[in-house]
Amino acid sequence: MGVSVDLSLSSDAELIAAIADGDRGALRELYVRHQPWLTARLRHRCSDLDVVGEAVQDTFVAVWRSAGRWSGAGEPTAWMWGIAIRRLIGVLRHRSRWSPVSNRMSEASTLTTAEDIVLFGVAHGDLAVAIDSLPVELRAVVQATVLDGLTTREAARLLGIPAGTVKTRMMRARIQLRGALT
Amino acid sequence: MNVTHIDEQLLVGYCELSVTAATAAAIEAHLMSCASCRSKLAGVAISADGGFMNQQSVWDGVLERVDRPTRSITERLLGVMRVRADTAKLLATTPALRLAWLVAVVFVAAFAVASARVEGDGPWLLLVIAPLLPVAGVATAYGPALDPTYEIGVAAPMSGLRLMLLRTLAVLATTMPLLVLAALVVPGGGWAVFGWVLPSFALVAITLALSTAIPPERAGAVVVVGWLVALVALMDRDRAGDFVDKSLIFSSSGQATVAVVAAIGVAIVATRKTCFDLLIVSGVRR
Repeated sequence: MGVSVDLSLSSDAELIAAIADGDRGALRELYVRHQPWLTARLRHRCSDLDVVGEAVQDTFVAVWRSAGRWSGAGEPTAWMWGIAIRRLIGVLRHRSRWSPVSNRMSEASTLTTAEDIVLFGVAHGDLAVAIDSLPVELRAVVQATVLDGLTTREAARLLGIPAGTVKTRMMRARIQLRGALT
Repeated sequence: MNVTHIDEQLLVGYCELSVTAATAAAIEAHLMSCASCRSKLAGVAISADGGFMNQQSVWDGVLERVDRPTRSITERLLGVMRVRADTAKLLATTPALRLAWLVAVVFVAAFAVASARVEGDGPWLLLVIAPLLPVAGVATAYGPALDPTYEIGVAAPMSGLRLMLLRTLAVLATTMPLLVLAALVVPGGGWAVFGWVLPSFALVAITLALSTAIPPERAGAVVVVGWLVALVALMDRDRAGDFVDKSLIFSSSGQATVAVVAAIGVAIVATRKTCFDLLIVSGVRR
């Protein structure tokens, strides 16, 4: 404990720099800030709470170990999400059982409407409707590859399907979206 | 209406997994760049999913793994070879597995080979020195004087014999291949250059046998001296040829005798194996 710095005033980038120097307090602060949304977002990818908890834990351990290698370019949130989604895939592969994303997606698509999206200013309402009208298995592939930026192979692991299936589903999704948007 | 932030109800819906995929995607995109919505989510998340988000055990696990000691390269290599983690830890602390030891062995073996090449007087130096290297490794592998984990060993509820055999195995597994390499490149050829192999095992066995009575480093010293004396004493000076031809130890009957000596050493270790538990304490007693 040297000079006490109020960590809550530090930016994420400063926290990561402090973590690279072995500051556990900075890791705690980063955890407090980012664990909730990371957990929430991972839960949208995997319904098994144990797996999500393990992936979140892995993520912050990985942040601790690789903080020194963070280039400082880009958003810290994007960097952490990149780690988190890949840790989720790692945990799933390790357990070699999948909690299909589609389970919850099928029951999810009723409550909110396109109205909600407009409420917080998403301009592309048509796209939203088009995405929501995709069959569950196609939507999962779009989510993994387009929104989460995973490679075909990573998406295949996350969803527990062969890589070839990811490609064909992506192709089908593209055709359907194009049809819905024109 | 302020459209730059996410409505709290929507965040609750997001945490409860009750928004559509497109809404979720839009929320996620916004969260990536909005710290205030991230903290708003942290606020609603606790109530939204019955406390899962705030699980203390997840953070405890992070801390525990952050503080866990990192494994050395040797331990990881042993792990790859399917050695159990605790055994790997014991092996990795063997002085003979350190780079300095391996470099020393390489230097000694290279010196013996170079001497044979430059002097052109056959592989005698390698034959004399090679059996001493495993002895040195074993003599320094355990015991109070040189083992860095000696005090942990005193407190550990494990068999001294097991520890000693593990360490010996580590010494042999690293030292012997290097010596075999040296024997392959030494000039002088023939099977005679492998005359050191049986003496190596015999001397290691004798060192271990002596270690049941005296500290291992002293046992090693006794064996080294004994080996050199035996080499000088057991010579047939009337025979023609060089040192290797004259020495009785490197003759076929001599090698057979060496094998018997090795067997005796092993037998002593087997009958006195409980002494290795006492050995750990012996440093304190003496």
